[in-house]
Amino acid sequence: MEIPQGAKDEIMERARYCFGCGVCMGGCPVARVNEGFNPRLLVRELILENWEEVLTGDAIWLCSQCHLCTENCPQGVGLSELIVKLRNLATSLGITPPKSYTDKIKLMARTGRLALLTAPTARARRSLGLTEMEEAEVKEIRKLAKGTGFETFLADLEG
Amino acid sequence: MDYALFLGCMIPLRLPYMEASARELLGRFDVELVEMPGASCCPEPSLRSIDERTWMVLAARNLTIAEEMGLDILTLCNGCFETLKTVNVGLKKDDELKEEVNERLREVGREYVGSVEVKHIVEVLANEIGLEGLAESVEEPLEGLRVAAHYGCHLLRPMSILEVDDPVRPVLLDQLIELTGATSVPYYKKNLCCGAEVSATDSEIGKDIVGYKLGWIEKAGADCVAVVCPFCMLQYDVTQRLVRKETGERFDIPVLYYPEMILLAMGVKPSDLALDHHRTPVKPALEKIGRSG
Repeated sequence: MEIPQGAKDEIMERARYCFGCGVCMGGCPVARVNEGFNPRLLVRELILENWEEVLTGDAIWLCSQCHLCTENCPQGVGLSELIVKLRNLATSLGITPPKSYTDKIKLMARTGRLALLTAPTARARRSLGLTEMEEAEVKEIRKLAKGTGFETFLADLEG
Repeated sequence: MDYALFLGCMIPLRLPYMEASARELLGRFDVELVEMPGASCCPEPSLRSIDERTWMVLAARNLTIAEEMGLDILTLCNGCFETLKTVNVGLKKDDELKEEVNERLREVGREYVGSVEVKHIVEVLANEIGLEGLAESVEEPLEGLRVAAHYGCHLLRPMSILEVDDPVRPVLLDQLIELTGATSVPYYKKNLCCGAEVSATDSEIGKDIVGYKLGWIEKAGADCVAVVCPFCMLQYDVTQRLVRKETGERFDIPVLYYPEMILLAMGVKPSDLALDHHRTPVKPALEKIGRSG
């Protein structure tokens, strides 16, 4: 796996400050209920430069992004932010994110929104005296996605 | 006080009763909410995880809509708040990044200037209308009601960007609860995430996290949970129905959206609040304050 040095440096610049205190682990909601998820060990894997294990593993996709580790870390590692970088890096290397991520993104690209207006919700809106939902400007969103190169990623997703 | 209302997706498309009570409450304090034409998903963090630059460009596009309206944005959702504020703050302090984003936006005839602010409804209630103004509006105090405050992560963290309250020991929602006459009860792991974001990827983890939280909320003797975010509402109100205690029993802890709470305290009848749209029955909380009839 060929990982750009710049991407590695950007992550290591923060990860290397970790002294292993485990405060990230103590506050982590996912670690509390799932033994397989350990934020402290995730940082250790980074320090040991086990890039492939980290990038191809499930852990980076299970973080709930609550940012408690980032607020509590005495060393300013900012793990929740590093995880966003790791997810971006994994995707750019061709690793397919879990279906929950790609499903949401496909829906966003198709409708501009994260949920569809169902008949029961439309009825509920009327009964609550709320206005009809306007369509999002999907064409404009698709055009912007083309400019960022995201369209190619979407095309791959949609096969 | 006029705001561009950023509705997002979850509230208007899944939980419209939250939109109805927020509009009702803000209307009573002469906060004018103006719709944002053509607004899309904020976008949600799943896109940030995969392509941070595209996420930023699409968020900036939403910001330009409010800029054209000349109004600050008000969000009802912690997720929308974090996305829009993070991008707004990020672009305001980095001219190079702003130019890169604007290069994209020009393709659709837009430009991000950096002329508006992004606010969460909690900030507008606590800081604009003010705790005193809200307290004065209380006509039927919710005395005796013990409430577990759940802030939701993306109202508070990362604090270096969001700057709403202390990221680990916040007070604003507790103050908002107390001014209704209710009691905000302390409970263990109050600051822990509701588990919404991981729920989509692993529903078992999502259930276990909210079940863990509900266990401590019940032990604290709370009559209900108060939330200010649709994702937290889905976890506590809807996912709660799927959670079992170690004994195999269900939890039955009512969940209120804060605007519903203060409207009740202002004397609005429960039957006018669409509380029957909640999935976990609210009645036990209403009985506690003698308003279930």
